[in-house]
Amino acid sequence: MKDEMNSTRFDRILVVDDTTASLQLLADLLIAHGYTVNPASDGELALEFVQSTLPDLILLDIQLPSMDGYEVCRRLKADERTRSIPIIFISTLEDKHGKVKGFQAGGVDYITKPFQAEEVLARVRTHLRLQKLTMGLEHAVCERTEELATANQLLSQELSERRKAEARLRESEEKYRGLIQRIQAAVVVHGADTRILTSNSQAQQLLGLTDEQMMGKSAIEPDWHFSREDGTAMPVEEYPVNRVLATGQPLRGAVARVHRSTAQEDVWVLIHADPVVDEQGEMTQVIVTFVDITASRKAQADLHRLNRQLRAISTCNQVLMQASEEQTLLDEICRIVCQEAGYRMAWVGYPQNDDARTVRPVAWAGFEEGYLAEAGITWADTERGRGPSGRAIREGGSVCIQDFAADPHVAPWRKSALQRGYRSSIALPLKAERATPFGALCIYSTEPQTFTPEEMRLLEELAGNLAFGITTLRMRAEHNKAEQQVLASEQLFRALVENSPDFIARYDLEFRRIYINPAIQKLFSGKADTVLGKTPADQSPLNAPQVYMDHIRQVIETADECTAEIPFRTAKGEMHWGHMRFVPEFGPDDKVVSVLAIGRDISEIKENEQRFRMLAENFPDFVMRFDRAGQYTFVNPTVEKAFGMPAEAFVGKTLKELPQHRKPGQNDALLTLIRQAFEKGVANHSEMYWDTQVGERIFEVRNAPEKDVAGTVVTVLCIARDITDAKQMQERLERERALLRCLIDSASDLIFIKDQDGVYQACNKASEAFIGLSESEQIGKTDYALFDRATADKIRIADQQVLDKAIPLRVEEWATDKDGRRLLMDTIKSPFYDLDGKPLGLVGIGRDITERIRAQAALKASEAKYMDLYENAPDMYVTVNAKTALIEECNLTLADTLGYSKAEIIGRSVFDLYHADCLKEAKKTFEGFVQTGKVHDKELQLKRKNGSKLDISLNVTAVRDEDGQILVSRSTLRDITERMRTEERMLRSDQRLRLHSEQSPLGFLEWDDKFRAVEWNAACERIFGYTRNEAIGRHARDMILPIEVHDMVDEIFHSLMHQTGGQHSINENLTKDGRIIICEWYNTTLIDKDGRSIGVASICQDITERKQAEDDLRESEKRFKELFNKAAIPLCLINKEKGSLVINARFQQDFGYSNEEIPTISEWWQLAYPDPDYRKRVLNVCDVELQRAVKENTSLRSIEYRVTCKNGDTRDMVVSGSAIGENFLLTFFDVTERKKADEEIRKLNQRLEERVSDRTAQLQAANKELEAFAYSVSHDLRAPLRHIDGFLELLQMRAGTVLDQKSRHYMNSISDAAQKMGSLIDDLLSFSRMGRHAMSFRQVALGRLVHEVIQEFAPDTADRTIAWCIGDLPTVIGDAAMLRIALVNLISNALKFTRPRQEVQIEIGSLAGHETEAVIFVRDNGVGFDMTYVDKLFGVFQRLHRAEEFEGTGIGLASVRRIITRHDGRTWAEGKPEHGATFYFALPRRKQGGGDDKH
Amino acid sequence: MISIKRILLVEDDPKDIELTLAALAEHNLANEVAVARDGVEALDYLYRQGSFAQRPGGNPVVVMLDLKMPRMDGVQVLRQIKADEQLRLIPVVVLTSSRESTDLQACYQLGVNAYVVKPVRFIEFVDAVKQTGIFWALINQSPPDPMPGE
Repeated sequence: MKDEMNSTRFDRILVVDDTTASLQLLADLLIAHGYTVNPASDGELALEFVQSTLPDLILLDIQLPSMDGYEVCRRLKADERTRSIPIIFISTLEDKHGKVKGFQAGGVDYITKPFQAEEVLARVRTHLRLQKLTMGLEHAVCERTEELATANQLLSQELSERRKAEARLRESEEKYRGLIQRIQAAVVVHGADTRILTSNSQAQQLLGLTDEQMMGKSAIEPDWHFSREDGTAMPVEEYPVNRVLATGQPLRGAVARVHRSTAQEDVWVLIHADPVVDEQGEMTQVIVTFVDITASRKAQADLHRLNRQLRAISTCNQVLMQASEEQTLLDEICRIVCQEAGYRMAWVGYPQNDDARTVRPVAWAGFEEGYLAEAGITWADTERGRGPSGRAIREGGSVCIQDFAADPHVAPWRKSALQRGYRSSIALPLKAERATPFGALCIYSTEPQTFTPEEMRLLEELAGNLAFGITTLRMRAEHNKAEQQVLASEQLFRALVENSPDFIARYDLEFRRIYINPAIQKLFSGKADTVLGKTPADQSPLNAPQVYMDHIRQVIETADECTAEIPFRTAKGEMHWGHMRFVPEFGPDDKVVSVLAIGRDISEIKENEQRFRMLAENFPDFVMRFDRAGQYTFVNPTVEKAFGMPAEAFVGKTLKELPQHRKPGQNDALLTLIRQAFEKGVANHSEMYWDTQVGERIFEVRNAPEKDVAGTVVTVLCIARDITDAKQMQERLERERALLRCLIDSASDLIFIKDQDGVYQACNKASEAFIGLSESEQIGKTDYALFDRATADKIRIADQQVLDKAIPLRVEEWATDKDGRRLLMDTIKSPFYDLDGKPLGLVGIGRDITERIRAQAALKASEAKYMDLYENAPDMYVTVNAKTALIEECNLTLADTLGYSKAEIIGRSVFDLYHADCLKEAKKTFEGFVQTGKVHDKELQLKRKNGSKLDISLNVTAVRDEDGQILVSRSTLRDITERMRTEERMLRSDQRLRLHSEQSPLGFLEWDDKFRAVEWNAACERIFGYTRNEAIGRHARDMILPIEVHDMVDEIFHSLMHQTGGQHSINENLTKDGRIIICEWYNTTLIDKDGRSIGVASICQDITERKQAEDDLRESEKRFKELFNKAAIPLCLINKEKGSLVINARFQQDFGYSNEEIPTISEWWQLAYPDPDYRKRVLNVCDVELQRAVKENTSLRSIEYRVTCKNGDTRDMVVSGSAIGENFLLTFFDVTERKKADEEIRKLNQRLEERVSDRTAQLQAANKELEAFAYSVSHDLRAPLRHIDGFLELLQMRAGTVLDQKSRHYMNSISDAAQKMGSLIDDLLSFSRMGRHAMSFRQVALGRLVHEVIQEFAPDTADRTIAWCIGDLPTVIGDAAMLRIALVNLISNALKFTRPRQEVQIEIGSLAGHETEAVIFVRDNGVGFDMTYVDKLFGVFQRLHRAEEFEGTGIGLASVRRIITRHDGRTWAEGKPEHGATFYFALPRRKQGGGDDKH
Repeated sequence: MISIKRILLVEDDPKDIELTLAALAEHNLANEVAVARDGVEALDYLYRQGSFAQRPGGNPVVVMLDLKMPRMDGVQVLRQIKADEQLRLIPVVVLTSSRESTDLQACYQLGVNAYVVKPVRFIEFVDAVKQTGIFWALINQSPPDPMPGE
């Protein structure tokens, strides 16, 4: 199309003329000018010709035979195909009428014969060109419309296809969503962010959560969490989903515990987790499968523990035997309890006798993790003392916490304990027999209800052994320690005295030396024996022995110590000074028995003192010395001079009394510093103001402590120097420097200082801002640290030049500032020097001149561009002097259009350019311009050089001088010939398009060549939110392009502008309210008549939702397909009709068969159940089940099968099936391991039961034997007794009268003995019955029982005064008959032993405050008993009284104990001779029916 | 109307027999006592068979029955008596050394009429036997004889 438009070679012209000559002439003319000519001699031939070939132009003679030119023209115009062919009439007729008629018929021009060749050619050329322009335009419109229509159709096609795809996807998703729910294992599907996407009902059940509670939650939300196998909290990174996400590897068979916030018990689970990877290899999901293995875990754990405990106790006993040190023993026991017995943690605590009564942990082992530190356990009766350990220590009994999660006593530790995996614990008191506990052994277990009575018994035994071991060890340790202390102190003393540099001598009361230490021995040249026993007067290195002895005498007389400085001679004969201390030593009667003389050689100190004085006196600085009381002990002459006082005035005065400054603050500060020097023993510095005689001065003060030999600070030396002048100088300097700094910093130029090596020494604020680093950060760096290498190199060269030549230099340097911009710096660098004129570095002042340079360059470029534009603009430009109307400037377009050269035009009058027809008008326009300064769209005609006319539209603006006088006109002239003709057509085409675009549901929009919207239909308003008014003229970047593509906008638009044909794309776009939407675009480049791209037309559609829905569906389907394939348990789909199978990867993995081997269910049956009999049974069951399920349209029931794998293994599988559309989904759940575990437990149980029943049988046999024995005892032993008594009686009756008194007494004795024997047998039998009696537990109201028993005793006690005091007695669970016997025994005892009392008091009641047991007591004021024998009290045949005092067989209390013991209770007693006795029994509080007899 | 009838004492221990008879003699009941030395003999007596085949007809007024005996013990005898339509109504007093509740329970379940534990002290024993004898042989009205005329 473009090619055709630009060429005239193939233009075809039909010439219709009946005059042959004329026809020939025209044809020749046209052919000669390159046209293709088809001649026709009449109208019919012409019409016929156009049917086959369409000419581009027709020259039509009017006068034709049969059909005239007008008719031909009308017919051509009537035909759709030919109506647009321009027709030029040719006629000789020269009347106006003919012309008018010709135009009316539809001709475009009219040529009269005889014609000028040029005219014909000119008109033909004009019309052909016009025609082509029009055609081109229309064609463009058509093409665009067609493209739009195609796009529309494509879109609707794709739309419908997508809907279908959507439907398919949705169907598929439903199918697979069903699938996960039907898998017979707990499945949780996580997304890559660990959030739960899906879970099935088994998972929800296992975790105790609903679907809603799980969906969208991350794996670590607090509704449930994992623990490790050992019960410790599992860190989040170890969670199955996170492990898979981290490693990308599937997780097989990890064991963990799931703790649910809603349940007490943890669930043990076997976990498989598999990653799901999409096509790009990205992990998108993790499928986690759980299998509940709690039951088999527990059975295993129980067995394990039992074994370990026994081993542990044996090991503990070994350790106890070998122990030699308490801490080691405790550590070892704790370690064994944890390591061997498998408890979680064990510790031993000792009670402290502090205010809080803390329990201090002394040893621990196992998983402690700071528990004890935060536990804060005490043994006081407070909240923190009511835990197991506190109670065990306080009460002396074992305390067991069966469940930390539930027991109210452990509330303060619950959270801390559960975190560390403690679920139950036992605290065992450590105590010697009958002593108060000295500690407790506490043991923690990970499981609740761990401590069975058997286990507790074992542990108590262990604790008992441990306590004994510790007690023994301690005794041994105490002994050793005491011995060592004595030894140590003696040694210490000796070492001190012998090694002392001091002289130590002891004198008796006669002043004789009785001891001298080695230090003194040296003075006597080491001859101790010649010295001892002598007095100082006899032999001594002392100068004045008498003074020395006087001191000793004084000590003896006053019994108080004294000191003295005494001169002596060394062995070499040198004079030394000794500082002596004389100390009295007292005998047992507090009398002085000896005197200790302790001396120290202080000669050196004395010398130093002397030297110090010399120095200080001549010191120009102030020297003062202060003692501990803050008094001056010395001042040097400088001080005297400064303060105008003599040294004596200072000494003995304190600083307070003699202040050095009138402001008390200064004085106090010095005082504080001196004190500090005393206390800390280190020197300090300060600056102080003192008032001297010459006014206030500043001093630098140093306070130095002076120490004696022992390191004690004796005095503080204060040395002060007057620094007033120096200080003032420095301050002035500082001020000046600050001022300069301020000036530099406020300069807008960059100012910096570098040294010789280019290292920055200083810089100002502007420089900081430019570099982006603070001054302190810049200092010490070189340009290499601040700029890139190339820049830094350049700077360095310039710097070096400045330094070398020692002259300032101005350089332009490129640098990159902190924002990464390249900036051109205009820098003046000047060197600076030291006093010797040696260059030290340089000072630089820089200014950013980038913008200036850039602006200059831009200006130049812009000028050239504008000149080019100006010359070659499509419009004609001319500048005219407003005063002279002479042309000053014009562009090439004007010159070319009019056929002149520019030189020909410039300097002429503007009016020369106008056509004569409008010259007048033109002058008027010019005058109007001079008045108003502008002309707007004035249509005038110009005259070409060849004289032809040119329609133009004129626009003029004025260029004025400073006074507003118009200097020149700037005129734009536009050729409007063509425009005028095509305007109308364009208008129509445009309207059509607009209509089309506004009604379309698609967004139509058009961009101009700057990517600004010029067209924006209603649909666009809906899609993007911008109204047409808002959108038009706005750049795409400012509306619909997301920020991410802003950088690429130019590129995008360039490609849009230079494409050919339509272009389809799907992009993200931005709406007015900031949403990102996805749009589908069809873009077409718009081309103007010259083939230039003038803009882009686009159709767009918002497909965000559709796209989202598609993505979601595709994602979902993929996810569920993955789930089937990657499920951690075997799955298969059976087609209901065909029986064909589809299996998943796990199926293949577990059973070994590939899908090809088992295409249908029958092959599966054949392979999975090779045993024909078993297969037959399976087939029967399966067939029936399948048929039933199909018929009832339900799921398949779960049935267990033994499946044979390809490798010959058999596995027990529970198979369940659910209907999914055409298929059954079969889930295979492997129960082989579980069955094995179950079987093992079952066997174990059976063995145990066998053992129990064996044991029971043995017991029963033994019981039978016993019973038989008892029976025979009851019968056979009593009979002879009866006989003895009977015959004795008979004998008495017979011979009573003849027997003497003694014989009768013997007979009575025999009778009594028999009687006694009978009672004994009776009681023994009843006692043995109590052991065998079958207990029958029910509620027994003890109160009523007691009253009944007392009632029974009423006849026997009628003659006695008894004050019964019966308290509130509880109702207990027990055997009523047995308890009655117990009470009868206790009460009869009370009655028996109170017989000597006039006033009998018997109190029966219960003790409050015992939660686990009911404690009942029977108290009397009878004869009581000695507690020494309390242990014998409850023994069989044990009596504490002689038979003559109180009758009885000694079986009553034994019976009581046996009865109470059989109730799992305990009995004890308290008493004191002649002060009554109290008998207690305690019954455990149990639930009714919970305590059937075990004996 | 007081009619003195026979007492059957079932007792294996000769000393006990002697003492029992001594006790009954105090109340002149000794002559009315027939003695069987074990359970078998007791049943022979009651059924008038074996060594007692020749004894005159009629049932004793009361049977004093020891429990622990050779051959057949007292409980078996009691069961047989109480199971027999002819003997059922004869009052049976168990006279034994056993205080065992199992024995007590067994006897009362079989329908014993009284259970007396032999005291060790002779005086008490005499008293017990006497009371029993007097009550059952003298005071108690015996059931009608199932076999009138015999």
